[in-house]
Amino acid sequence: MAESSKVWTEQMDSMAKAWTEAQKTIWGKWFEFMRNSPAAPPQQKMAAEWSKLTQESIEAWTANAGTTAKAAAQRLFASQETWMRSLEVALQAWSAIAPKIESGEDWQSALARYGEELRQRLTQSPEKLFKSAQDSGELWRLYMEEFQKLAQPWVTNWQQAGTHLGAAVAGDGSALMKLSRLYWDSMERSVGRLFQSPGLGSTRELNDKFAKGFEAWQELREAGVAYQLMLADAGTRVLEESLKEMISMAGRGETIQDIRQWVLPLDKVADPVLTAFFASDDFVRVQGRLLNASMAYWIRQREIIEQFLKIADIPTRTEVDELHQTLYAQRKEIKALKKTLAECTATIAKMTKNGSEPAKQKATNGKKPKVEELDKNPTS
Amino acid sequence: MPPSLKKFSPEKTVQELIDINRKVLKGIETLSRIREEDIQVGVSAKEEVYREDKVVLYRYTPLVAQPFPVPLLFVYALVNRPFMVDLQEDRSLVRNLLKLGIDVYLIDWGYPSRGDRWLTLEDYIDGYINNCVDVVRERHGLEKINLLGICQGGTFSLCHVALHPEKIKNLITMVTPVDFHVPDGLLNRWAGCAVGSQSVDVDLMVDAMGNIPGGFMNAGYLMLKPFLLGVQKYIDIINFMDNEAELMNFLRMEKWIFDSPDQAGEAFRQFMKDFYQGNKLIKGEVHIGDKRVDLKNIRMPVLNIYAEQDHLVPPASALALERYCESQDYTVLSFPVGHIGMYVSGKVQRDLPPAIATWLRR
Repeated sequence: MAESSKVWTEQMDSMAKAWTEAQKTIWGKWFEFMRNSPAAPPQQKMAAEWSKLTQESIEAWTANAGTTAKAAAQRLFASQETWMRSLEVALQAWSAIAPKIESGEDWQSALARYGEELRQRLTQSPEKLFKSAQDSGELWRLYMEEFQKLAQPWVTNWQQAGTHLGAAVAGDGSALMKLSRLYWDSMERSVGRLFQSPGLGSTRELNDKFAKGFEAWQELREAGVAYQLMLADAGTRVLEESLKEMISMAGRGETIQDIRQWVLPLDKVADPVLTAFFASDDFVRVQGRLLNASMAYWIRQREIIEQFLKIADIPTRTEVDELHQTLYAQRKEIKALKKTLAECTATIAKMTKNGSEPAKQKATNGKKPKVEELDKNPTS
Repeated sequence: MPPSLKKFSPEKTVQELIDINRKVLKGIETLSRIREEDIQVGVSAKEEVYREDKVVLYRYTPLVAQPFPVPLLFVYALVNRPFMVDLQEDRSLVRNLLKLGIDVYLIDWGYPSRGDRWLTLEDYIDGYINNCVDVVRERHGLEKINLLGICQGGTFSLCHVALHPEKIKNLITMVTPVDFHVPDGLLNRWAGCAVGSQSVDVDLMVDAMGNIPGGFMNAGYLMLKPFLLGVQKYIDIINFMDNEAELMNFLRMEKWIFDSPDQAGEAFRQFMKDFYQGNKLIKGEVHIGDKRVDLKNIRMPVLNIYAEQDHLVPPASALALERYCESQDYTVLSFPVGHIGMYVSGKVQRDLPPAIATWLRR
């Protein structure tokens, strides 16, 4: 029995390898073809990894295609990669539990154990990451790295806009850049003390915004970890159900004819299992926490950026939004006025045409009614 | 060995792989030749008859000499573009209705930009829709016209009709959410029907993003069925990648799906809070500006069309309309399809237009 399992596992391994090798060969040939095509960028280097090679081939091939066609090609290959990974995971899972099934052991327990191991493996990384950075100095360093990426384009712009900075800060175009770096360095070195110090003017405001930004970033990080853990759990459930479905198929005597059918049970169970999982209040709350934390962090980032923009005399998004709001209100008012005017004009036209009461009255005086007079009497 | 693997052989696998790759190769060749302008949606002839801000009202060119005298105005959702109802010549609800003699108008919401962030539901419902209804009434010299609202556009239509029942002769709602708290809707749950702002703090979201990016919305919709919409769909196209006509059909759908306008921030805020989280429509607590929406004002004939396998608008959500409106002439029509199938399925293309035309002509 154990021998037959080994044969089966080897067969699956060789099949998966054949699949991957054949893919590499075929895509490699395409890539060679692409390198010689006029659309391909010059001096392209051969990609080391299959996925990179594929990606580049597709980009070159569809260089002149429309955006929809190009995007569809990208999604096609992304999905094929996902599909191949699914195949690999399913294969690993089968390899782990098949000997138990073969030997007549309780497959449900084997499957449950495998699921639990997988769950632990999947959830290990985010927990590690989270635990590795509990001290505030390390967290600050990560936060600043993150923020520097965000702020870099702005900093570059300020550097180029010498006059603003020259007037506002130190007299040359790189002043804010230096200031920012100094600020970040000092924050990193002495974050605790800075939080507590009263500070002055814009420095105090900036400290406060950075501190709030840090808090929001921390929450986002924690929420991200919680979300990843949930997704890992969801993925494990999908795999468990998929394997159960395969065992059921075997029980029904159904035969898998080709490699694409290998993933069919996954296709069948993935979305129903995920939908049920995603609908749970627990998942909705964890997802909501991530979403809300992202938004809160977004707002905090903006507050810091806007503080710098103010220093550099550049309009902020908040100010632009205020302008839009004013324009919106005025546009609405104008529309209402136009509508009223049109109604009045129509009323006047109707009254003139029908010889209505006020018009008749005026007519007897030998005068035409004036628009202003009618406007004063909204009932007319 | 598990019995399900008995006929599985490496030789067969390699052969299968070669077949798949042959199809993919042909498909990529085809894809590489396709320019954006080749993928046209919204193909039926139409003319612009009214424009307000970014909103355009179109009238489709009638295909019969004497169209039915009461025109039909389409109100589509703000998410995605309205041209799904006229995707291609042989998959067009609009075209099929035109052939049956219905005079069709459609509101195109356009692409809201940052300057539209402050637009409210009042602007959309009591402003744009109401003005378009008036334009059509005036053009045809009619007191009342027919209205067809789709998805969120159906919900907007219900609000409009409840505020201005005197302007609408017949109302058709298609895959329209009414009860936003039915338990079997994942979208409802994610939008906060069960745990409110813990699932999404709408105020925070709008304050952070201003307008809600279309791509962000789309990602959410795809996550409702991640394997089918993100993986399986693209695996399946391998089966027809060497068929250019089918590939073009697929690309038209792709273009439509990923052509998602941003959502005006304030309108989004109210829609999410009042409809999804508060379920205020059926409670009679929605306010459009200072006017209260009372579904009991809907007394005209109503045709409620829903998709039996709709994962975005569960049938129970759409069917709730019967309990809250006062129409004595209420008809339900369903098709065994999903939300998108309502526009593109062959059965729906064949059966829905005559059903609508017959119902309008009664």
